[in-house]
Amino acid sequence: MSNIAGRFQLVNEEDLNTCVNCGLCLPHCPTYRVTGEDIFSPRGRINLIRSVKHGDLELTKDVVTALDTCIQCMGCEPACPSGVKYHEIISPVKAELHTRWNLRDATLRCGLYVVTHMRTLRFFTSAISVAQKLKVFPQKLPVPKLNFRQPHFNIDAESSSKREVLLYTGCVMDAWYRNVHLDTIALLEALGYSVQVSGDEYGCCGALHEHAGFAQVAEKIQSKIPRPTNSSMMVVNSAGCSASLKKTLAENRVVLDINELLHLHIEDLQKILVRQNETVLVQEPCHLRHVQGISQEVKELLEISFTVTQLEDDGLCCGAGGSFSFSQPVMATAVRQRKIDEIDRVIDSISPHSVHYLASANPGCSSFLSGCGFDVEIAHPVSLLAQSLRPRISGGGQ
Amino acid sequence: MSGVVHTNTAELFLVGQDASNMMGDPAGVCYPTSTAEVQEAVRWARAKGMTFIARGAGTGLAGGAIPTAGSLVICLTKMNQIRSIDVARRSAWVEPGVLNADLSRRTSRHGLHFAPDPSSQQSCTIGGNVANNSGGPHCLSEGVTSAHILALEVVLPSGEVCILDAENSLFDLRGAFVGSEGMFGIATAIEVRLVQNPPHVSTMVVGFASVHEGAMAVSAIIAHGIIPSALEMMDAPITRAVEEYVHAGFPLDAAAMLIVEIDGLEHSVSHGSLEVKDIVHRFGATSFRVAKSSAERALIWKGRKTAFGAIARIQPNYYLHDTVVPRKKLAEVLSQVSIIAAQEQLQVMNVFHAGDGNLHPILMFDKRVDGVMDRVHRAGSEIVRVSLEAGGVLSGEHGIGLEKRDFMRWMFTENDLLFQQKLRSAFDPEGISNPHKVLPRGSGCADMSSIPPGSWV
Repeated sequence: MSNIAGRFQLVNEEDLNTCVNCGLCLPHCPTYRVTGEDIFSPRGRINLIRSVKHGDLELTKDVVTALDTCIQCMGCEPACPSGVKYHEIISPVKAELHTRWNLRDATLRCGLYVVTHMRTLRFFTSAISVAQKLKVFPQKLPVPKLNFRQPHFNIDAESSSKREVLLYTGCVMDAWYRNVHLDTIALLEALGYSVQVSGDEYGCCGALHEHAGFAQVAEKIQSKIPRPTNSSMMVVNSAGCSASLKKTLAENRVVLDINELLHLHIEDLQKILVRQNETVLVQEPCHLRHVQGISQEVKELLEISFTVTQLEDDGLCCGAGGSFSFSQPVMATAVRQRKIDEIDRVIDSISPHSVHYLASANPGCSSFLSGCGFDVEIAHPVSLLAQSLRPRISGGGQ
Repeated sequence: MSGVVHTNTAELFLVGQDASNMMGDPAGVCYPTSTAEVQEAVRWARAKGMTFIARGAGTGLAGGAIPTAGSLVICLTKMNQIRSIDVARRSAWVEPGVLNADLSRRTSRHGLHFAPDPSSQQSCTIGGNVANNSGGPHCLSEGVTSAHILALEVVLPSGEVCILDAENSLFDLRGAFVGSEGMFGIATAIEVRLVQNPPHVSTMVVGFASVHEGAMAVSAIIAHGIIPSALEMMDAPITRAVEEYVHAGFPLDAAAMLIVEIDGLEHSVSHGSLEVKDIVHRFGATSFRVAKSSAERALIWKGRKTAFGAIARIQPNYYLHDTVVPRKKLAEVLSQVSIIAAQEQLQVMNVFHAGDGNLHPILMFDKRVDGVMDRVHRAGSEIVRVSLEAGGVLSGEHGIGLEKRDFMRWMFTENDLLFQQKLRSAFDPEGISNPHKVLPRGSGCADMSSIPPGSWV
């Protein structure tokens, strides 16, 4: 363990010094919220990292658990008045802690291998869909209902629009949520865009790997993402991936999250979307709200067609956290329960059965929340907007 | 019980700290979830001959939650349920670990809130508010925590449970318990008074060319008979630091800035705002802005309430001081504070509750610099001295804790301290509940030991 502690030296001293121990981060940390224990808070973790780095504290099992249970939702960053760059502190530490081998870790590595191999991923997707049909696939697992075959892309090839955009299709997003891609294309085409799909050539963005602490693997994946020059804008409809790709491709191309891009066209959307007599509750993915600062945009977009209700939990994480729900199931489930309680509380305060959809712009959150037997349908905001397109314009997604 | 007392070094290291610069050395920490478990923890500590200390979110700045060596930390953060809300009576029974801001958020749909709003309100607990008799910007018109506590369920240091309220006990001991900094026992349930959300609010941001003019305007507003719901001042350095982070549109060219908030019925708000505008202009206001939306107002308050954190952008450590001076002496004491800081070669910023004369000079430093702690220590004592000489008091809202303990004699006579000690002994004859705080060494036989290692005040 001591050689790992030595590598805590990678954490920048000035980043650690920015934390003044005020504690304003505490309520914004999902793991502190569910435990009430300092050791599971951002302030506590920073203190532990600093002390291990300085040799004042040994890297004991308790310290490792405290650091392993950080979801990296980054809810603490926008809450911090001192501007502590928490991701700069926790990321190198997470990467260094990932040197253990156990069954759970090995399974995680297999899973992360599969998402970078699209043919294997599609094979497993079809296999799971069969298992789901035969009712032999455990319902508790955070996997949505899958299709044996994915619907085909139906691109308007005739489009000669000068507004070109590349839709990043990704790994799990494409294998499990192809419908969201079709809905994205329908909306963008209705707005006059000519849409290209990135396809399997782009594959996984490496966000899951980086998040899980496999920094080197992530770097390798990210280096393989094509970087054409003079390229069109890239749009991403998975919040975790858009956050990651913005960073990876910062010097190569404009990357926008779909909610960001659609919000630029909010006035046009108001003309082409119809009102629905339904209520949507918004669940804000951490990598959209805390990392990219996109929050009210989703609400304003959905308000074009729906009555929108928000949770009153400052965008607290749902516990999914990439592969976190797999590697730390106990903590993840406790955090999810808090989110579910909050959702139930808000629904009850309006009136039961009055909320029709839970909108979530990240596949990780959607699947994790779908694994707990909700009676409200979980949908991507883009799909909700696409189903509100005026019929004469609606083309794709059929 | 011993099974749920955590003793690992990492956890003890963390619960040995709060938001001050001090460090304690506890022997164990537990997280009770009910009154019965708190009783059990207290009895367990007593049986082991240990002292104990209640802990909330650890956001205190005076070291009140710093455990003395070998004590049991009873952390109440898992007791975080709002047990009941009585809308008709405008009250709620809450557990001590409920966060201040959560309580107001939960009661907002009834049009009610808990009035004390310390700057740390998003993180701090109601239990901590009771212990420190916390204030906040809006306590100018509503009064501090003691004005909002209707009843308390307390686990006494003997392990017994008692109710302190106005109706069912012979003496109303709420006033004694609120602000006792954890030395009289542990509150395990608190009945709070809730106040109505104001129907209309006007928040004004006023710039001045000098701190003196701003301070004079503060005195004039109160002297005129207006009681704003909040009246806050920030000097130029802190305004600049905060503006960089919140972008609330604060006047960067002003030497001092006031936030004046008036609430109530529409007519009285508009009338009061006009009067404030008139007064501040008479005292040379260089800018005057009224928040146009609740979002704009929220941003102004975010800037004010997170001001101290913005300091990390300038220096890695700070000492956030807390004294009170008479309003008419504000300008004079503020200039003395800046002289003191200059003498000790420290940067100082001021952000404070001007309406009730509660100063918060913030001394900024880098503790890795040799000898800096001595200078900070000296400047801190000098600020206390000039505040007391101006007719002020030791602390407005942070409490005495360890930080101001040894200044108590500057303000109180031996006789005063003796009676405080006797009151303490009535609740805690053995001196086992958060010992060595508030009362200076020698003022009672139970409090003879020294400040924990690592502390510097």
